[in-house]
Amino acid sequence: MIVNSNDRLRVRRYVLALCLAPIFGASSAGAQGNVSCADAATQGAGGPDITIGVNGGFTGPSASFSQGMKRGIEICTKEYNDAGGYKGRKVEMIYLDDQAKPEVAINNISRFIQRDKVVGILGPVNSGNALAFLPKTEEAETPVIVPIASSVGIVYVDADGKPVANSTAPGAKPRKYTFRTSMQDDFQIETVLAYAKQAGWDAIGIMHDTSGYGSQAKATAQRIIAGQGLKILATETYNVGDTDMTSQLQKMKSAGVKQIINFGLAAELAGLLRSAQKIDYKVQWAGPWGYADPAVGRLAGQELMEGVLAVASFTIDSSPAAADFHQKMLKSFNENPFPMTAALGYDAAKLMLTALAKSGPDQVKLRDAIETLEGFSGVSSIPSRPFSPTRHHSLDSNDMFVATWRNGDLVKAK
Amino acid sequence: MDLASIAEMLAQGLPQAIVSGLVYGSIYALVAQGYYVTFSTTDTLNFAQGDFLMIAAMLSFTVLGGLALSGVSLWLALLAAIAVVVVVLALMGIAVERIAIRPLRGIFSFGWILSTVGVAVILRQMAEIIWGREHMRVPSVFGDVPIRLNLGTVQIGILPQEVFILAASLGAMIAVLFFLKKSRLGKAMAAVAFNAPAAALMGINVRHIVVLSYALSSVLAGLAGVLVAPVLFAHAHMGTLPGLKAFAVGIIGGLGNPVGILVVGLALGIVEFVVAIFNASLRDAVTFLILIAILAWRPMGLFDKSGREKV
Repeated sequence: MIVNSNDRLRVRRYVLALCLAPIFGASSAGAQGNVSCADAATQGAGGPDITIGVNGGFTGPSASFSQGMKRGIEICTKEYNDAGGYKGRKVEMIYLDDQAKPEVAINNISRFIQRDKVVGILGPVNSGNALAFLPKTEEAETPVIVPIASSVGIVYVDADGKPVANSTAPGAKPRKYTFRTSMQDDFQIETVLAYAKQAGWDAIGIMHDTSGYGSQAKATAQRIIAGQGLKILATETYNVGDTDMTSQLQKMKSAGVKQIINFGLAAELAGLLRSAQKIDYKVQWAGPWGYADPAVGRLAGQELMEGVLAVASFTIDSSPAAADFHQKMLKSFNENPFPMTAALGYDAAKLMLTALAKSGPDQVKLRDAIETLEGFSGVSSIPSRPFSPTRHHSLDSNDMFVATWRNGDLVKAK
Repeated sequence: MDLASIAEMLAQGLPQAIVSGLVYGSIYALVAQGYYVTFSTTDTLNFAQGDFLMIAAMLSFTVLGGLALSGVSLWLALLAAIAVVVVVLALMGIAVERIAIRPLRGIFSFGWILSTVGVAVILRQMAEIIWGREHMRVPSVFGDVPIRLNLGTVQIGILPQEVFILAASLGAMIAVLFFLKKSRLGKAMAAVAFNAPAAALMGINVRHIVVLSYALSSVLAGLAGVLVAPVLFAHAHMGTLPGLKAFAVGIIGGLGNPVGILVVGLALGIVEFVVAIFNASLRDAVTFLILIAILAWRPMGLFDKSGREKV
């Protein structure tokens, strides 16, 4: 990459922030104190390794999300194994790259189930890949915790087993063996709209790309807006691959739109920010966690990211446990470019390992232990009782919050 | 939508749409000139032209990025990138003619269509392997501060790089036109285009002319790639749509008429952005709707008087 030479400076800034945190007192949301996967370890005589499969798009368009997730899982596994693992047995994470391609993901999952005999699976990053392989894991009765992919239908299906777009729709129920620590799309939209309402936004415009994700997000937003009484001044679309959206933004500008809530992917978000700058349109940008992707700033220029809002469940200042986790990441990898993905990966791994301590290495018992887990503490804003028989997502809209970009970091918005 | 609101939308959106449209349109025209150069001399063209543009953008990312990081001034880095792109793309053009077009022409007449589309796919996959599949930002020599014009109620903005795109692509097209009309080599190319056997009898080496036309065509795509890299983000699939749109420009303008290609290229760019004012989802589709309509009405293109059918 061309534009990345200030990592050392950033590390220094983080260290400084951490030293100052006890003085000023960090915010109180999320878990208190330090969180460690060592807590899930149990002592014993030892034995053969227990395997867990990790599937992510480590190369390809979702590499930055996948890399963060992988590092979070790595740190958790090391803490766990160093503290004794499962009754003295080590847990081995097997990482396979699906290159963000569904057909590769399916192959990886078959390998996990048939060859590696994994007790559970963590992943994936891409929603399409999850939808492709989940019928396989359900059939094999292998528990899956999805740390990143956010599409509603990954976890929730209708009576016929078809993925749904609205988890609160009548008849929607979770897939038996599938859980998530990721931020479900419909709750993300709820969160950003609730923020808009509470902040008193009165000149809102909606933008979305014409992909399945963008159109679905817009439909969900419309459903929620109707019940909320927010007024939308204008709605505009753009195609995936567009770089100059000045035509649409000019319309937003002349409609008097002051806040744009946008549903799309990193490259197009960067194009939107640059197009707005081109026509001198100063507008408050907000959107789901796609805006937390550091790739947007890399493409658009970090200065255009200043003040942009994104839905989050973790920021490096969201709790003392979060700040501590960020330090752990910096210590192990010298960088933490996309902290939220690392946190979600870490929490997914910690959930599975904590449940393993109760259930032992048996897939079906592990599933039940995950579903009934209580007293859990993670580094993201995950609640202590994450799941129930009817609820397989750990993060509700109440657990998510809106974060803002400030001086190159994503921090809690006021 | 009533007429008054349409008029108001246009009044506010049109100036920016024209400016943005001219920039993108000039790129379509520049790539399409490449189609013209080879089609007029050989009746074939390179369907991988858009991916040649992509390769050039990737090369400029590597050269510009590498040199800029090692402290060379951006201007020097840009000149180096252009030099590398001209050499590499010329060689790629020669290779495509030699490997994917010449051997197939004798076997069956449309083999080159399939083989050049194949080249496009190969290039895209190669780029994914070499540069990865993430979007990459290529720095502009002129910086990222837009130039803004205030027209009373309406403001328009243009990036300095976009001004450069417009100027450089128009300049390149004019240079190519002069080369074709005035230079001895250009005249030789025209002679081959008009009647290859007769040109051969006049002592013109037809084979050399064909190779030259492919090299020239590829260099034009390469130049387009260097120009657009800072404005479009560089990635393996960035060339697909510009390549197709340039092809549409060639067909609509008439593959035998470089001035027609220029006019149609600029016009289509503007149409795209005007359509986006009303419905942005139609932005990419409108080019091809126009293409289909024009083919039904004038299969030889708007500006081609020769009457040859293009498709």
